[in-house]
Amino acid sequence: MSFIGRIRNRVRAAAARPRLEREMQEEMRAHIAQAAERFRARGMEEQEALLSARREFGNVGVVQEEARDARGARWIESVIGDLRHAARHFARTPVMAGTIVLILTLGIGVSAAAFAIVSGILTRPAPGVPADERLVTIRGIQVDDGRRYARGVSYPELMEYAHLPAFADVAGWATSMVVIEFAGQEAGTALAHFVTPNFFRTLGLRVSPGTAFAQSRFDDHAVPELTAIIGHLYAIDKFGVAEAAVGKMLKVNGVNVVIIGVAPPRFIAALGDRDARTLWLPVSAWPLIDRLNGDTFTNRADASFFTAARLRDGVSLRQAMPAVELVASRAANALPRRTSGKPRQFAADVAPLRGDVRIESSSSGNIQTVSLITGLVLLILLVCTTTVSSLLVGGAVARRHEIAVRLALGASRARIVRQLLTESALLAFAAGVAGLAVYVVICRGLRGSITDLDIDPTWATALATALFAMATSIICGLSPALHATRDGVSGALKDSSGNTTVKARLQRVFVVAQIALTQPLLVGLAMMIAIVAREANRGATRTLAEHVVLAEFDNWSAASRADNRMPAVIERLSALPGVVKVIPQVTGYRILKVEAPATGASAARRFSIRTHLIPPGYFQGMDVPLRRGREFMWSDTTVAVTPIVIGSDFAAQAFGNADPVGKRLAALTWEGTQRIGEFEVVGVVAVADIGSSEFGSGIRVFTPMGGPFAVPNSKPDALLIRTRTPAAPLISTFQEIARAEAPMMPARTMKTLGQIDRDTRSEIIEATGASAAGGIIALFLASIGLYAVVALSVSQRRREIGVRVALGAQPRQVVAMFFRNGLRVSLIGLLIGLPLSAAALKILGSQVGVPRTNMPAIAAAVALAVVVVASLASWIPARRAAGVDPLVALRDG
Amino acid sequence: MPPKSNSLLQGTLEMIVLQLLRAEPTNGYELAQRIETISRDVLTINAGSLYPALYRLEERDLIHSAWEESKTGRRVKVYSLTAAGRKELAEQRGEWARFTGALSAILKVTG
Repeated sequence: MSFIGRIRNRVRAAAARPRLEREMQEEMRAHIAQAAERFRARGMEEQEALLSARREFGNVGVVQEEARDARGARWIESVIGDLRHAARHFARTPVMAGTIVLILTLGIGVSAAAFAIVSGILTRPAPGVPADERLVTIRGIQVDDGRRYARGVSYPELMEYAHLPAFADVAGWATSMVVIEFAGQEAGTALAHFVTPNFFRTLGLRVSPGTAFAQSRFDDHAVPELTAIIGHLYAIDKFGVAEAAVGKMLKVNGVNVVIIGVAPPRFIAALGDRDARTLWLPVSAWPLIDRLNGDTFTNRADASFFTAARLRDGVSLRQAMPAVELVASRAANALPRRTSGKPRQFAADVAPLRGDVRIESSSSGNIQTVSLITGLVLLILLVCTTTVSSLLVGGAVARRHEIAVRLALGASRARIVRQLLTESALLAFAAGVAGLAVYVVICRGLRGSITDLDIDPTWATALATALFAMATSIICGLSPALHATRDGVSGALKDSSGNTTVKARLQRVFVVAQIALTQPLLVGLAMMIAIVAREANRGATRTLAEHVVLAEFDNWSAASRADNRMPAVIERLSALPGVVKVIPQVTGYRILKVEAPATGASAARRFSIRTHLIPPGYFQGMDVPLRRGREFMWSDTTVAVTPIVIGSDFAAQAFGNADPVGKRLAALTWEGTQRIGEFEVVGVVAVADIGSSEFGSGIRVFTPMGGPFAVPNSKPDALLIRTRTPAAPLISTFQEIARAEAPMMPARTMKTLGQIDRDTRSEIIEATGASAAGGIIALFLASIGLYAVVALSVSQRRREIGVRVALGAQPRQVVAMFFRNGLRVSLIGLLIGLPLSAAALKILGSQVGVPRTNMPAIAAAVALAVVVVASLASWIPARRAAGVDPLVALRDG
Repeated sequence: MPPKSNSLLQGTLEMIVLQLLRAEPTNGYELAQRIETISRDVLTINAGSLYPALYRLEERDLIHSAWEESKTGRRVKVYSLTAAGRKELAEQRGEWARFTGALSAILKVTG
């Protein structure tokens, strides 16, 4: 019979058990009655015949037992028995069972969610795009001194790829910011993808509602087709329902365009930048809308296109590679040599179209993200399993007496081990179900806030979670189960709390491992909380907050590039009564490294800085006094050494007590490999007036607008408008003026600095509050785990405590002894965990940019927290044990 | 009491049961009686072996059971051979014939 068949029979047998049981008993009664008849027929008395029949039959109980075994029902019956036993056991120890389930739930939920993120990064195409292994992207690569950089491809190169036999379809697109005007609404910016006509077909997407573009061929670009397909979210945002968008007119950079369709939900972009405000236009409309020169479609130097392609059936990624390389190298040869005289070297490759494919430097960033997530998950799992495992060891040891009695009553070791494993499997099952719910909740939450990955609860992940739960139950349950049953009956019964040294040693190992592993986790969490706290406090010290309006404009569209209206806006705003000063700003910044020269006390040190471009008169206009030196003058842009103004905190870091004014800093590229100039400190502002210089990944340094360290091609795109009275009531006037003067340069922001701070803070609290709350819960759980492990190991030694007290030790002495022991163990764990924590700090610090000055404080706080929890955990149970009458402690063991 | 040949019985009990049920469907008690009678008390079979064997065969769908009334008016569970059981019996008999053939050949040569 097949395996499945056997299982089916067994299940059927279990279901029919009561009936089969009845029938079996009736059948055997009939057997005995028939035999008795035979004996009576031989002339026996009624009673004697019955007795003889029974004797002949044998022990009815044993026969029935063997018969049940033959049916295979025993197996299921005993599992049910084990489950019932386990449930009863947990009902007696709800706190321990609850803790274990909680810890496992967290471990399973978090690891499954992380698994979903990793698989989202590694295996899924962009959101909204159906998964299809034939979907690829052809990535342009430029080779420079052996290093590979990403490059776009030109339209002629794109056409050559499209003609390669390896591909069924090759689509391309160029992306540009545009100014959008819907009838009767204020202008805004949006991301426009100018796509080849086969774009949606290549990705396997259907435009609905509405239709695809009328133009259908690659060379249909002589006449601009002025139609657009609009993003689903964008359409809903503007028109309420997607259907209402079709047929509507809008202006794109001032050009009339009709919406003919809506993209599928969740689809925003196949690669690269993602923005909910997205529309797709035929590539033929690009020159007109973006006011390009006419040769876009023939110019090989204009490498603006990205690609998505569909491999022909039966063609592998590898097979498509050589032809693609060939096209790329031809593309390089068609271009003039570079100014340095070196020939250009192009390459290209074919990569699966994933949610997040990039070239080189950023793909290593990807690997970093994936390995960071994986490392974190492994750590969490390790902590969870150690905690659960040691809790189970404690539990099993505490039940030595019960186990010994069962062994004495004839249960085999395998039977007991199975019972203990059933218990851990039951816990793992409960945690698996709860963990799956946590996982779904986390995925739902992430899906709302992460738009560049598809994070869906999948069967694969659910399966992985289930497997994980099983594995956990076996790993967590097996070693305690084997351990608890190792001594056999006599040893266990003789002294049901004996052999404590071995147990205590095992538990100490667990405690040390637990502390060592918990530590880096706590460090990570503490750092996250520190970041949240810092972000929430940033900018709180600005004195002029309500008297300054920050106006940021989108000035990158072709229309405003062609006609810069910023000076006119500044002029009109400055003329308004109530406006003190209008200060132009550049929102972009550059990240550089600077090197402070060696001083008597210290060697040369390097700092990462962010250059903020400000015009002359900035600090005066903002009412920020300079503590030392001066602010910028118009002539500062022409001097050889670039002047900078720095915050007082950075001045102290770089120059100590010396007067920073006149000091020089070497300017290096952001990698720090090459010297590119020199800075001279001309002024210092107090931290109290501008806020901390620590700014994300660098130190904020002010440089003159228009100077040599400006962001390339940057024009002022923001204004600080200083007013005499509180500025809030004036904002609507500012908006009207900006709209009238520069309709093609929509204002992205127009708020007082105070309002911006308040918005940012509430946004940050909203965004990070959830993760910080999760972090605090994890912290709490880790502490509970630590506490439980230490407390169990102490309470296991109640008998020892009883002995000591009975022999005349003062309870206080005993408690002190346990406290010292606990402290020693936790210090050992702390020491072992130190390198792990340092590694965690380094990795996390480089990822999120925590100021180095805070790291020792965070590490110290975590170490303190670990020691406090471990100490409490050894103190409280020891005190309780010492308070017990020694007689009771000795008797109960 | 006749000597028990349990080692032999264990290997062949199932075949014996199938063989007897092929001749006539019957209940557990009758089956035990028949084995004793036919083997002239050489083979006795106790309930502790018989019923597990019957249930195992039933589990494997080689035999089928139904409640019927016995000759003495008692409600008894009567076992009968299924098609699969018939096939199994044929195979086991073939196997047995080969085994005994080989055994007697050995006894003859070395005897």
